[in-house]
Amino acid sequence: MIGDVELARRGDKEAFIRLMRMLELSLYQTAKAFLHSDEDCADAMQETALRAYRSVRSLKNPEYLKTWIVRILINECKRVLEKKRNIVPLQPEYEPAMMDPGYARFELRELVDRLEAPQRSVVLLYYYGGLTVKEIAEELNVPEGTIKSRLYKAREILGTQYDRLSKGAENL
Amino acid sequence: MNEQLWGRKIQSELDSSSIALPALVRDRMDGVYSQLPDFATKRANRKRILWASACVILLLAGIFAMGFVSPAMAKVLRQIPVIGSAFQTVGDAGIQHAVERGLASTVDQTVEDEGVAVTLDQVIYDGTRLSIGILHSSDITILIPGSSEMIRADGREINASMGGSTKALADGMTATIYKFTPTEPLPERFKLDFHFNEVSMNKDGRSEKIAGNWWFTTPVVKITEGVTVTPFDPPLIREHDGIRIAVTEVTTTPLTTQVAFELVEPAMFDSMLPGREVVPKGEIVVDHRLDYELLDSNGLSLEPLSMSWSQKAGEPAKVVALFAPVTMDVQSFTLRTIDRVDKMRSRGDGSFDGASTPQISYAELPLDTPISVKQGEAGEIVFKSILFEKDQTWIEYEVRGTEPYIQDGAWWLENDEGEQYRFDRYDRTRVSQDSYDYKVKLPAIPSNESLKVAVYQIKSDERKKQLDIQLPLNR
Repeated sequence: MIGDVELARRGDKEAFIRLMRMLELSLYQTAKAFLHSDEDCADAMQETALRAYRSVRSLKNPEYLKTWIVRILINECKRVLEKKRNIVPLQPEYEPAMMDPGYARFELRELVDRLEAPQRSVVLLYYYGGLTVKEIAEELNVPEGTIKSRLYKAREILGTQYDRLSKGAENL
Repeated sequence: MNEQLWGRKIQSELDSSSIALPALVRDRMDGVYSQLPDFATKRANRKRILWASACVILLLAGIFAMGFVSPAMAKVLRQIPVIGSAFQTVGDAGIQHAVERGLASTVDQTVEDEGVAVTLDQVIYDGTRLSIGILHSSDITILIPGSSEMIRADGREINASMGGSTKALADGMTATIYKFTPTEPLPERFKLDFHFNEVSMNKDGRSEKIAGNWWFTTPVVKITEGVTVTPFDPPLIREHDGIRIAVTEVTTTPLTTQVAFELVEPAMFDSMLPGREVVPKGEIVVDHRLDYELLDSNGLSLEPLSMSWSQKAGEPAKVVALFAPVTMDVQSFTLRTIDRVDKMRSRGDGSFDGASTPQISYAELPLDTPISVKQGEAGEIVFKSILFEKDQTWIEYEVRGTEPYIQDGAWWLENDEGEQYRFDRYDRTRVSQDSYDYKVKLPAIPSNESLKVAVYQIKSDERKKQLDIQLPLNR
């Protein structure tokens, strides 16, 4: 990856595209922490790709690439929200639902989707966006303690559900 | 499982998750990648040459004009395109001018592969740049491989900086123009090969890549009518504040005005310097960038089209600046240097965000009398007339000031509900060559709507008049 970052900084378009493809899923999940629709996520991701391509040569430390692009993306997400006068989806959209324990093929990602919106946003930014607790607190304008609490709660819910599902799967 | 271990388990599970991007997002990202411009590198001698091109800006403008909206499918792939319309639809001021003079060659060559038909519509080469216009279904996006893989002259790959623009036509067709500025002159006559091997098909919100072979071959004859080359040997030189400009040649054609010069600039103007120290997060830095305007003998600025530069280690940068063609009899130009200044906020990792938010001012738009609205330091815009028609609205306006080619597009109309009426640059026509008067087509607006005009406030960057260079022309 570092090699591709160096190539991208020298203007190698293909290297830049390879990097973006590698990061796309993380970027998408990070965008989902802010935006409801895939259409809006695509808007933010497109603009992020263009902005990053224009200025990748100014990136000094290759190891910061993901952090750097995630930052651009978060700014773009906020712009999309501002434009649409939307609300950052931190309010609960639905109650967490328990999955059928007999459902053998599942992924943890699906459980993340079923978290309450405030917890889900924190999980997405922490695990996909690679942001620290402090950075998430800054981005969401919420105290660090609240973020820690949401992250702790999310892990607890995920752990409980994951164990139940795993046992259910084993018993099939 | 303790929290730390469980945290790592979550990370691991999410990293290995098999979920894919939704088709809509996949499609849109593929569209962006295919439209990224090249930063050309010279392959012949493999010496490190950096290319930066203002074509990027033009290409991005084209991308935004297109809006990246995946068109509803169910359109037929093979439709009869309007032959000879690509240049008129999406050509810049120079291309439009050349078309009006009948200097563009209509090729009308269609290649169909894998069920995808693409038409090479028009070609023009004037010694400064090669422009290629194509027509294709709006359902496809051409995945461009890069200039040297895309075009050949008499079988040899052409090394060139590259830009382009695209715009949807009616009836599900799209016109795309690729513009190449070769690093070496091309022959007076040559066989052009233009080709690409992959397109992206947008269907029902999904994107599918199609490999194929779309290869066009056509003879190209360089325009000679109306072409004047004025070499300066020795070069015309100005030096000031550590900046040294040495103009070596000016070329005027019906398509382009090209100024070639060598440039030595202090490091403060190289904002892309990779070795730049990391500035602490949140700190504001002032970014300087040299830009250029070309004034005719009446003091009017020619529309800038693109700029490319190359540099070998230890040598001055070689800059090629392209402007719109002159349409009047001009005996000389003045090349003027501008110090473009932007405030940037550091992200702390070597990258920056723009720190200035443009201000917008609003004014009621009367329907019967002209109105002048300030555009900040740069000048003013005068709205002269508005004409409501069933399918469109016409507005005539003039910009006056120091940044005419920023001022001319930096406004829109809004109604009481906040609905905006905007336009892109292809909807705008300059109607006078001795002033910055324009006529623009906006969407249809009910004539009884209460309208206000929104105008960006634009700063005026410093002109370094000590570096002004008079460029007498061979006429």
